[in-house]
Amino acid sequence: MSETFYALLLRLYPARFRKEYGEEAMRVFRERLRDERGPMARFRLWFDLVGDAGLSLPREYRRVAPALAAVPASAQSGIPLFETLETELPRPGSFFFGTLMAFAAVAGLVFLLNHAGTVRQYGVRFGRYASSPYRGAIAPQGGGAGMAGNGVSAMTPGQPIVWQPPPQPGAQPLYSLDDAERRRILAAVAATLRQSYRDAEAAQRIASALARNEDDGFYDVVTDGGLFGAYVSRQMQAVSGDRGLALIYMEMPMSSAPTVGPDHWINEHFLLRVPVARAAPASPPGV
Amino acid sequence: MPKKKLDPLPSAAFQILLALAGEDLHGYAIMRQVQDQTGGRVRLGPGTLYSSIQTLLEQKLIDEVFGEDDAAGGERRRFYRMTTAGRKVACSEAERMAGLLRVARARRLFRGEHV
Repeated sequence: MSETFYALLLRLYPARFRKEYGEEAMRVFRERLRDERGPMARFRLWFDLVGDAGLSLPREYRRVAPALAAVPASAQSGIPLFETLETELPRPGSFFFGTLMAFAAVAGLVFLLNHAGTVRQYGVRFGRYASSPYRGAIAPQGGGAGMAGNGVSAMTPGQPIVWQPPPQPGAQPLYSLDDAERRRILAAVAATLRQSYRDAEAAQRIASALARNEDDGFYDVVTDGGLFGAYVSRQMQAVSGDRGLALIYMEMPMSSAPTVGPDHWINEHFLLRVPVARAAPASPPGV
Repeated sequence: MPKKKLDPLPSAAFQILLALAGEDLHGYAIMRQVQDQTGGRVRLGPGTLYSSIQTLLEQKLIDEVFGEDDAAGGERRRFYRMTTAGRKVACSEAERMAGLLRVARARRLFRGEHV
């Protein structure tokens, strides 16, 4: 019991002191316990020990503080110096609190991600209805054939992509859809699918479905490009069963951009992603 | 590790040096020796004892040696030995105290024959 109590008292000392002299101090305590018997002697022993701790603890912690401050001073001539301040393992309690803090940090991050809503920065918008990670954040690189015809602007292959400055707060939206523009986009989407999609029958079904929705006034109230892209993407995927099909909206207009691989520019704000057919696996030699 | 200056020499450090003037001692024996040489007035606790020992080691006033404790059945433990520098510091401190004692005597601070 006495040893346990003194061990607890020793734990109040800095780790470096405990490591260096903890065992010796414990041994001295045991020897005093052995030699000093009787109620008065024991009382005096504990009186000494508690008083000793009260005097020596602040001194030991004062000794630790300059040691920590002195570490950077020992780095010489720009050579990086790595030192550990404590050589012993952290206490189990430290691991527990570290784990707790890590969980709290991850939970906080997840909460923020789920409740971020719509953030505008540098002309890039991330929203609940964002249809693709391509959306406004990444521009495809390289050359390719531009989309032409159907009354929509064609992109010239090989020219650099030009970004326009982000809109000022309170400014009018850069791009707002009207009925005519929606029809032009849907017509261009249908034409591109018929031309490039691997399943001609599915392309036709999609084109018909989009035209029917437009005729039914399904998109009439949609003036936001992102929302329109999301609706059209969902419709194409539902009809074809192909989750790779997507109409991607970019808020910042692309004054010139090439068509790359599965991506086809519909106009300067919309990119149609049409998955290319997978190449048939090569037959093994001799088969 | 930072050096802790021993000027003036703290009382506990001086007592430890005095205890080690005769022979090499381990921690508990130093504590007992200090208690004896002060007539029981000074009882160093383990915290103060090892804190002072650490400072004296840093200042190279004492050395650490490993030896066997005959009283504990030949158990191996740390002993401490005063270095030449430690002896010099202890002498200097003793002379300083002797000087103070001479002043106290000259001023007739003491009454009686015990000084």
